[in-house]
Amino acid sequence: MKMPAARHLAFAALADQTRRDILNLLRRGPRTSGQIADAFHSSWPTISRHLGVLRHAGLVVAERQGQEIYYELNTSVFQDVVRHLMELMKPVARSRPGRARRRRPRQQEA
Amino acid sequence: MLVAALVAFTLPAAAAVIYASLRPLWTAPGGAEPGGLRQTYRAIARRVVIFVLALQMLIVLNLFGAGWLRPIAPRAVVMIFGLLLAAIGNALPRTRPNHLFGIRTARTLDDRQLWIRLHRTAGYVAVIAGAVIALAAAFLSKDGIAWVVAVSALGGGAILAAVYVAGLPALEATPDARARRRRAIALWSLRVLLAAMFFYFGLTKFPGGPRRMWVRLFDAIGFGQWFRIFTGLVEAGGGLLLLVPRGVMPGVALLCAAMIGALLVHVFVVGVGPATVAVVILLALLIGVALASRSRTS
Repeated sequence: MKMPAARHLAFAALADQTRRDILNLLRRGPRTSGQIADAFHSSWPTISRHLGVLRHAGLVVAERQGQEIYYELNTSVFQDVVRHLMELMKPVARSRPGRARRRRPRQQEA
Repeated sequence: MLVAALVAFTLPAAAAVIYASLRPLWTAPGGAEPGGLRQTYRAIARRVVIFVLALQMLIVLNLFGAGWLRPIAPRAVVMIFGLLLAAIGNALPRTRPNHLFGIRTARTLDDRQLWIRLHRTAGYVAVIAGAVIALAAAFLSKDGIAWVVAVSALGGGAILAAVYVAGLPALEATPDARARRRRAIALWSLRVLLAAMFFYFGLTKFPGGPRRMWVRLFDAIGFGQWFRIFTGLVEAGGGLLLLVPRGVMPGVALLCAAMIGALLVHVFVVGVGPATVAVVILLALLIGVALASRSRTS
């Protein structure tokens, strides 16, 4: 009974570039909300709102470890495939600035 | 009729008893959030229940005389199994260390990140293997299905074993280390898969008897039946050598020799056919393993 709603939420959550980028970041392992916010140029409240949407859709789960709350990737295989397809289908023009923006902080991190 | 009814309802009754007795074991602290462990567990349990019900329907229909079903029933069972595998695999990346299901070893229960990585891989492997098995069951011959199921199981097992053995890669490792680890996993998967295949090929050559395929083939080659046993030993032994770190090169050499021999037999004795392609692919994979192993040790 809950399933249709949850599935609907997952699609809605995946239909946003920043949220897909967050999921992509979490593929490398859990991150705190602070670490996630650092990787993006959006404001902290924006990232926090995105994380809320992802959590509500069940695409990430929050795991408390000591003082910190870590966000873990929680997508199913199917949701991963949908995310990849959305990345492939998105308009090229819009993807370029977004990509340039998020590549740089990641390289500094490594 | 009584026996039929007994057969028909043993499976769901047993499944129901097992499900009911395992239920109270389930305690998931904090797993109740959206997409949390509790939801994932319920989704997987529901899929298994549907699988058992579908099998049950097949059995009941068969018992109570649906004649059209009899020839396709074996296919249907394999197909339903493939779909179950894919359906469970889809949910595996969402599991977390727990006391009920998953790949539970001391290490995965202890190391949450290892568990997550292993089950994400396992999910992809199971979805792909399940889809391949379901498609094979729909379209291939009986022998084809058996082959596809065996190769999917071996390949999937090899990949998972490699991810597990490659073990505790630090998440903050450099991209270079990550690439090296990925190569090591690929190489180990290939070695385990090839080892299992050649070990199996070797074993199939041992049984004698004038009607066996290998006996007739080695008659056609004309060196005598000792050569069949010899080839079987080379293949089984070479397969085992692939699993030993020091044994890769000798193993590859032995198996390459066997495959070149097989190629000659194909060209000069039995004639080139689809099986020749398989021999060439195996030869290429062996050479690939040799090259990858050499560059890794030097």
